[in-house]
Amino acid sequence: MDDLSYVGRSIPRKDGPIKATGRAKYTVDVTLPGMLVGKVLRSPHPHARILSIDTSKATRLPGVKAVVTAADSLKIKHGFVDTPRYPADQYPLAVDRVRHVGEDIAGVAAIDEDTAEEALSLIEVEYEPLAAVFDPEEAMRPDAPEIHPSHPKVNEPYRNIGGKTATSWGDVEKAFAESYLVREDKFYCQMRAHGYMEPQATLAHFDYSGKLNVWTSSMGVFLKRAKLAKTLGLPYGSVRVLKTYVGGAFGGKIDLFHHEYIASLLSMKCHLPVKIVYSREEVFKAARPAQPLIVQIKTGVAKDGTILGQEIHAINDSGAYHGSGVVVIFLAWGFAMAPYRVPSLKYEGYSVYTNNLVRAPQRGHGAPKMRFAAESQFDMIAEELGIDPVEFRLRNVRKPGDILPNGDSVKNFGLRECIERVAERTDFKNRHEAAKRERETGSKVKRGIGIGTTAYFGGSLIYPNSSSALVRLNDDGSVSLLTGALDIGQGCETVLCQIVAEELGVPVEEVQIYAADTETTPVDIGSWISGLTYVTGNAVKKAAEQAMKKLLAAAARELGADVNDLVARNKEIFVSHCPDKTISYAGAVAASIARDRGDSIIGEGHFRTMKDEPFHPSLASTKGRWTENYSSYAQVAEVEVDTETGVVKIAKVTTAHDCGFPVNPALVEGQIDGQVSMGQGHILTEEIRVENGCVINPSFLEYKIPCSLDMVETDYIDVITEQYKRGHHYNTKEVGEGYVSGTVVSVANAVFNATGVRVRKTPIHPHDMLAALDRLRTPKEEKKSGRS
Amino acid sequence: MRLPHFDLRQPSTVEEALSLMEEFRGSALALAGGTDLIPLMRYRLEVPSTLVSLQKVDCLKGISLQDGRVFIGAMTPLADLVSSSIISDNFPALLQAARAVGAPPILNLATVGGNICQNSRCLYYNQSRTWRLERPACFKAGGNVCHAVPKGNKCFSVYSGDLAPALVALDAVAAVEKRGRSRSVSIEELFSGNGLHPIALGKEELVTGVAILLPEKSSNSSYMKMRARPSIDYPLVSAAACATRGGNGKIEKIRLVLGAVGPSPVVVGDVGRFFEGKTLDEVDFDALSEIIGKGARMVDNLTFPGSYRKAMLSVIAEKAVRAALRPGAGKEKQ
Repeated sequence: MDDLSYVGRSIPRKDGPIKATGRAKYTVDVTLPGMLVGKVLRSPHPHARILSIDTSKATRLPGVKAVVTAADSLKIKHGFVDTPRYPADQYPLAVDRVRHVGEDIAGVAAIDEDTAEEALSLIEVEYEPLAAVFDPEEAMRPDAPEIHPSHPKVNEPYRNIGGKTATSWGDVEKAFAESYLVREDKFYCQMRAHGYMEPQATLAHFDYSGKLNVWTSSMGVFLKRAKLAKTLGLPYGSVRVLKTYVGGAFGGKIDLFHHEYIASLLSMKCHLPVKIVYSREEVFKAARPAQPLIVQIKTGVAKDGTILGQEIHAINDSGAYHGSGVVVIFLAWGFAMAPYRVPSLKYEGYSVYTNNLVRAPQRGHGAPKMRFAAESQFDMIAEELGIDPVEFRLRNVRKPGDILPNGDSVKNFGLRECIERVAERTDFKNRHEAAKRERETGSKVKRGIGIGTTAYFGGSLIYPNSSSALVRLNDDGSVSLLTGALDIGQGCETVLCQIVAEELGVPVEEVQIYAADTETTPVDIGSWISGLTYVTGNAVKKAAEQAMKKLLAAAARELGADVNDLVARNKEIFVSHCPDKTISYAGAVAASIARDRGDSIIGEGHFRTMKDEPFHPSLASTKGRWTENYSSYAQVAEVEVDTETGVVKIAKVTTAHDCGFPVNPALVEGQIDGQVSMGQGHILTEEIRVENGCVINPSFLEYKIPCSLDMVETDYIDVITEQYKRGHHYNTKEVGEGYVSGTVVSVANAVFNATGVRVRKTPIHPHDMLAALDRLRTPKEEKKSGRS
Repeated sequence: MRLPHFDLRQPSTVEEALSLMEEFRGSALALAGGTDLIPLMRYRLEVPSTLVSLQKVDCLKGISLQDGRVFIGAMTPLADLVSSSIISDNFPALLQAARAVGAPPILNLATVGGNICQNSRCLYYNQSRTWRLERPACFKAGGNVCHAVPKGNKCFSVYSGDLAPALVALDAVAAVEKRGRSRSVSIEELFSGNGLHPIALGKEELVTGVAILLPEKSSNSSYMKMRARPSIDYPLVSAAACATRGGNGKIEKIRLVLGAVGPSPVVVGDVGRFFEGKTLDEVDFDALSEIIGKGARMVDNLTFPGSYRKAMLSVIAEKAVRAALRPGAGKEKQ
């Protein structure tokens, strides 16, 4: 490895001091003169026709400056996916029908919150309630209420099918026929919230020059601009989305959210700034929760545990519109096939409309659910075959360089090493065996250990597909980086500055970053699909490299030396065999301006992944490449189950991770800890409870997200498969999403190891756990119920 | 969510406070730490036109020991309870209950009086006005349905205070005052047993403090709380136990109280036969569990199902009893 000064080191976060001292401005903190308070009127019905909307009383209320309904809008639909197969399907303001509780009916802008609230109460809406359906499997039945017609290309006689992904390879039937053991199991997941601390918030100001300025809590400004411009009928140049600090997103702030549209439309109507800030209740009731998935999985294996074939049937409850439902059924396939060899596979995924809330991606987007199903079943098979769970995985894990059915290569895939090292660190085999033996003893608290793994993509092609960056040397030799990247709390500004510092030999604290303004910074892929460090990072690297090249050319001429003999360090350039011949960066910049017709030094860089792939892969058939770098992890959880109360506690989670080249190891560990906590919430406590389409626990008191005292002890093992070499791009892999899966699975498997209870539904409620333990004690009842 | 409009009165003496309570009888509420009342006001579950803040009534704060009795002012923050050696030396159950209320930011604000007098809770009642307007009003909100028990004919809301079960186990007495008159009532009698109005106080009355007799040397107490998360959650169920042992080490008497069962803490009656004259090892907890929570109607109106919470009563009660009878127990310091 080259001698690296800034990358590969745990540099403190650039935004650390400003956030820790409370001075960072989040969207809610941005104020403009004359700013109004915006509020949204929502449907109380899960499914209804809108017969009439009368806003006249609200409009006449003193203090109300604007009221908008669909009648004020262009009635242009939008969608997380907007393709010929899956055209946009959702109006930002309901036109004639509402399909979920909380759907947006009208917006008001008033001089204060009380007036806005009062105005909402004065809007009269006449509804004709329609029959509603909330369970995806019920919604598929031919006699279910129709929310939308089934997708025209889906031939099965199911109702409410929003989308389908189908793919297969090999001969699955033959594989099952040849299998020593075939198991079929079904797994369920709950509906979860993202749990971002900063609620959804937007400030929109349509000024008199005809420009819409928007500050909004998001995951990337360019996607927001595209969606606002489309639905508002404005050219991109008339919509400016600006940076604010973001208090977490976890997938839940991608896409257009209707308060963003409504604040903009209200401001366009009254030419005053309008701010909408969601209450936590609105976040639960009207923003988007994560995607639930039902996974039915059938696996055939040889006697030695080698997987021969798999058949997977996934059902996604997409809620009232597509949202990301048609994507999650595609991704679930990828999470099924990436980490382990599956010689033959038949996969079908259905995204089903229901009268529930529309969903957004959440950290892992389908992976926790698919891996939960697949790897719970791995352990069930291993148990039946009498094979250790680690052995079973090692027998089937993909090798570096394996080519996947979609043409992707797993390249320097570290999963085998991750599994081996995490098993060794935790003394897995011995403790797994010991726990099985101790299951039968009289102790009221049972202890167990379990393993879970994942492979995850990074930087796939979705709009805007690429990142660009500009690196500018200032006259004094300091550096400014212009990037469209938005730091949502993951620390990307720090990482990007480390890369500039490394490439340019400038102290990292002297790199100024100007980020996330659609008007003044270059386009960026966004803080999602786990691609920022890889895609934006390499764009920034190229920009820095180009700036360096220009700087060295100017210096070489000035020093009368060959450019190849120059060495740059700490804002000084000198000739390697003659260290007395030096010029400062400031001097080189001045020389460039003096000699080259005023050229200051600016480098530009652009990067996208999979240069030969024109578009993203097919959501329908899975054809097309997905990513060029798969990360991998293996996690081991140690749990304690109180058999008197049914309460499960996670004692420790150990993670072996292959995240490629870690630009900032401390941030990698922060990501792991955050995901262990998120996985803990998924498997143990978090659940959005819905009755007739209405959320009944819309608060952080009743939605049980883990708090500081619930944090789990963690341990890390670095499996570094990629090194950074000067002149090459940074081979970083995903690190922000995959670990949720490993935590969920390893806990579920550890619970089985501790108690013999197989978890088929998350979260593991203590009352379900007690009931399952009771069934184990009276075995004949176990057969009655498929779920634990 | 914004607070509704209200007038704020800030008396500095008890007399002044009691006068205000009388003057605005029915339209005023007393404000202590606010950790219970303020969220209820944001949700518009309480819309008092006047708040009588007791923050400036200094004489209501503090813990003192006099003539074998410990007196705790109603406005004493829970954090002071947790750090008081008088409490930790004498009333482990109260210390544990105070600690179990929540994380330090809550303990710093919440007060003894406020914690005792908190309203009962229900998943379908403790919701915002917007949320509640989407369905008919329930009994507690002035309507005539129960959303937790569709055919129920009364309110099943659950009193979720942590201090009260411990105080009942310790036989504590509350000082209740109104202008010109004060009375002493056992903590147990402070509860009406009615989910609509769980605290049996007149509209012009205030709880000004709590008195507890110092325990006998051979006695010990404990409080156990079951909940989803230790930093914030209300109890799913809880139990407080106060036990006295004789010179021979055998149990002389025991008082066992359950929390989060219904609208008031429940004293488990007739427990003497399980304990008296026995050592801990001789106690038949299986038999005890048969009577614990008997007759309690626990419904699906908190985080976990009523049937589960009911099943947990005997588990938590046994833990509380065992902790109170732990050999060598009696003092617990932080």
